[in-house]
Order: sequence, then C-alpha cells, then structure tokens
Amino acid sequence: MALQSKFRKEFRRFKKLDFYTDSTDKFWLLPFNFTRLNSGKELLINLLGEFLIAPQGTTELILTKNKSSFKDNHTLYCDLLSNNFIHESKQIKNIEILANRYRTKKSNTLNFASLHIFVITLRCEHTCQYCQVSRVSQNKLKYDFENQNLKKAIKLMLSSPEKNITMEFQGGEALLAFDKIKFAISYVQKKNKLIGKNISFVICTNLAPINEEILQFCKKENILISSSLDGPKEIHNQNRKKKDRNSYELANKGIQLTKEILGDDRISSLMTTTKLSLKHPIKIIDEYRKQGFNSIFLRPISPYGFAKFNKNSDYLTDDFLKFYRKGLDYIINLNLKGEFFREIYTSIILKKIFTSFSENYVDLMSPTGLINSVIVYDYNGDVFVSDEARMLAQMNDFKFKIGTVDNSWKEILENDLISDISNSGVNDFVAGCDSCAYNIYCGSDPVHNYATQGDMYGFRPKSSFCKRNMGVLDIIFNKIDKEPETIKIFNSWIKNG
Amino acid sequence: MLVNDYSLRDLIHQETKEIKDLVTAKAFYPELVKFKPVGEFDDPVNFEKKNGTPK
Repeated sequence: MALQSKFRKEFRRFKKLDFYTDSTDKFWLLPFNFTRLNSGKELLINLLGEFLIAPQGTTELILTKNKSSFKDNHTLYCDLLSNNFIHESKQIKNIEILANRYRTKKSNTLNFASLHIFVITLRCEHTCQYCQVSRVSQNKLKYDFENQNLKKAIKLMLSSPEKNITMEFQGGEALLAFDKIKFAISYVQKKNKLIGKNISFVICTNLAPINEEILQFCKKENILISSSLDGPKEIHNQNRKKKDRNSYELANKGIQLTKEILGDDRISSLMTTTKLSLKHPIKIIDEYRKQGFNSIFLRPISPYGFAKFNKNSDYLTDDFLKFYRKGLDYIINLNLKGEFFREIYTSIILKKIFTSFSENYVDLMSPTGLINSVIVYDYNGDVFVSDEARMLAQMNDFKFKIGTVDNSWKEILENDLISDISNSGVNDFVAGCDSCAYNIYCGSDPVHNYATQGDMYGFRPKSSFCKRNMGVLDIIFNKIDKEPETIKIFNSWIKNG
Repeated sequence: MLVNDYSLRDLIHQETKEIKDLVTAKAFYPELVKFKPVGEFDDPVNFEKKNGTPK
C-alpha cells in the first residue's frame, strides 16, 4: 500500500505551473542591487551573485511589478525570472534553493583558519621604504620566535579544527631565522604523526639569503617559496633598499636557483606598488614574464607599518586604478596574442562573478576572513586576527590582538573583539555596502576600516578599500559588457587559475 | 528618468528586505551549516594529555 502511494499523482516531484504563479499580471521582487555601466546599460546583481546586463530603464520597469511593463521585451522578462531577480508568486516557492545557493557562495567563510602565519623573526637585511612589518636590523636576535613559544603556537595550530592547514613563515626576512624554521617543521611533523592533518609549508622571503642548502631542505620537506619581485632592476632596487643596492640581482639569482632545484611551480612572486611602480605597469609585467611567471598580482600598498609614513607609499586610489587598468589591458592583449598570462586579483573576482563559489582571499570575504581564514602568531607569542592586525600592533595599536600562545582556543575565541568583528565584518548588512551592486563580490575588512578611518564599520564614501574594489569591478564589468573576446580570456583564467 | 538611483535602490531595499533576511536566516540555519563549536577545539593542555609531551 505504502509503495503504491509513492506513485500517486500528488506525490510526483513536479508541481503544476499554477503552483508557482499566483497572478497573470503581477510579479514580485527578489533581492538585488544595480549600477550603471559606461555604455548606459544597467548592471543588475542579485543576492546570489548572478548578474544581468540589461537595457537602460530596466530597474524602473521592474519596480512597476507588472508584467505588462515587459510586453515589448518578453525575453528580458524571462531573463529576470530565470536569473532570480523576480518571482511570480506572492509566497516565494524556491526559497530553499536560494538559501542553498547563498550558503554555497559563502561556504568559504564557514570554516576556521586554514592559513597559520608564523612571524618567525622581525629581523631583516633590507630597509624597504614601504615595509609593512616594521623590521629590525638583522643582528637583533631577541626579535626571533623563542622555541618554547614556537612549540605552544604549533600546538595551537595543530589543535585547530581544519584538516588542511598551511603553515607560512614570514618575517622580517624569514630565512634569517632558518634554524627556527627547521626546528618548527621538525616539531610539526613529529606531532602531526599523532593527528594526521594535511600540512603545507610556505616560506616568504626576499630571496637574498637563499642558497642551495636551504633549497635542498625545502625540496626534502616540499616547501613552497613565496618571494618578492617589484619589477625590473631600477624599480626593484629603488623600492627594496639594501646596503649594496643589489636586491634585484639577489632576487633574480634566487628565483632561478629555486626553479632549478624545486621546479617552476614551487615558487611564486608578489609585487608591492609604490608611486614609482605606478608609472611602469608594463615594465613590471614584462619582468614577471622574463622570469618565467605566467601571472602577476597587481596589489596596492597597505596603509600599515612604515608605509603609512612614507611619501612614496602615499598615493591616491585613482592613480592605482589607472595603473591597474593599464596593466590589465596589457595582460589581456598578451592573451589575445596567444600567451597565457593572468592577473590574480582579477581572477579572484572573476571566480566570484562566474561561478557559484568564492576564493579564500581574506580581503574579499564577507563574513570577514579574519579568524575564518587566517591566524597570525607573532615572534613574541602574541596572536592576531590577521597579518594587517599584527602590522598595526607594530605601530603600538594592539586593538586586534586576541591573545597569546599561552591561551587556549576557548580563551582566544571568547575575546569580546571576536563578536565586534563578527558584527562589523558582514557587508550584506553594513550601511553603504548593503545597497552596493558589487556587495556579493566584495568583502569586509574591519582592520582596514579601523586603521584608515578609526572604527571597524568604516564610512564607505571615504573608504579607499571601497573605492578600489568598486573601481576594479567597474573596469571588469565594462569589459564584460563591451569586449566579448575578453570574456573568453577571463573564463580561461578561472579554469586554469 | 522619473526617480534617481538612490530612490530606486531604496525602493528595491524596501521591497526585498524581508526575503533577504529569510534567505540569509535559512542559509545559515545552524543544523545545516554545522558550525564548529568552541568546545570542539582541543586546547594545548588537552592536546598534551592526549598526545604526550614532546621531547
């Protein structure tokens, strides 16, 4: 009897059409925002990150909530319906689907930190003008991580819940404390035998101290190298000051040696944009190509550490956007000529635009990636919510210190600051962000807001974070609107990213 | 244009606020998300007890 009932008509999966449609002339709105593109068209983006480039006046038509408004453009009406900008029933029928898709889009924010940054030393042999971490000179050993603290920090890391963990060693110049790195990795591996987490190791270095012995160790332990390269010799050496003015030569030699011993895919490079860099996007990109890289991250300087007080680091967001646009145009042209080369910031945003998922990039996460994505252990045992929070502490502002390695996770996570961050770190409901078309692709960074504007919520009209991300998204969407060939290239960046 | 963009955004917000709240609440319903509770974190003291003190 029970089996038979399964086949009765009322138990079939699909409902009749009138179940979904209450009215022949009315429709209802689903959450979305809009902005205007250079072509005059309207860009509509909904809660799930679906977008539609529609003719001017579409938003006004939608707000009539009457199907007859679309009698001359039925296709547009169907597009709005199928892309979840409107629905045809007073009682919304696909709420579970919308909720599932929204959760999928935000799934990267539902985890605990998988990136654990260890500031192994503050010592550095460079005196870069923009240094974000406020280094000390290389003979000051008291600025190294003490072994006892290192063990405690490692135990915290291993007792955190994520199965896949990246342990990243930063400085100062991390390789000046290479013995500490060796000690830490050996300790992690010994303890991890009992736990069985998947742990990747990364060393961030300017490459100056790197040598064959270090690289053989990296090869044995499968360590990735994250290096710094600001562009060709004249730009790199000007940005990255060193006593002998040979930073570029050492970086160049280090990249080649690393590739030789570890392989091409075991080293990446990051650049920092200064006022000098702003004039030379193409030279910088060409330097990356010359070094054999097939990507570059055109990233602006962060307003922390020594950067805050240096004139060469104090440039306008508009200038950065010009630099970014010129660089992106050049990179797209390279791709049009058949060379695969991608810009990483654009790729992160494109994944959000064209797929159901998001990348684990802290700046573009909402709820914020602080703690959800990253935890930082400073050389002295302090624990911070992000690397930027640690840089702020170097300027004697300990707002975002959430504990020390002597604390348990329970003590660390019960810090009142965590709930403050949770409240201010969700851009869906923060004033100014909630009505922004780009909301779902953007992120929330309470540390940046606090550092630049004095409170964790921030004030959007004057926020450089907001202006930069909106500017970058404007550039990307105007390309999507006007350049069909570029869309193919963007798709290749997502597939091969 | 009859209304400016700020007014249009405000109208959209008024029309969709409840649905947005509902979608968000359903999306992050604790039983579906399975948030990791604080108690699930093993603090270093327990870690030591379970795995022994490193030599």
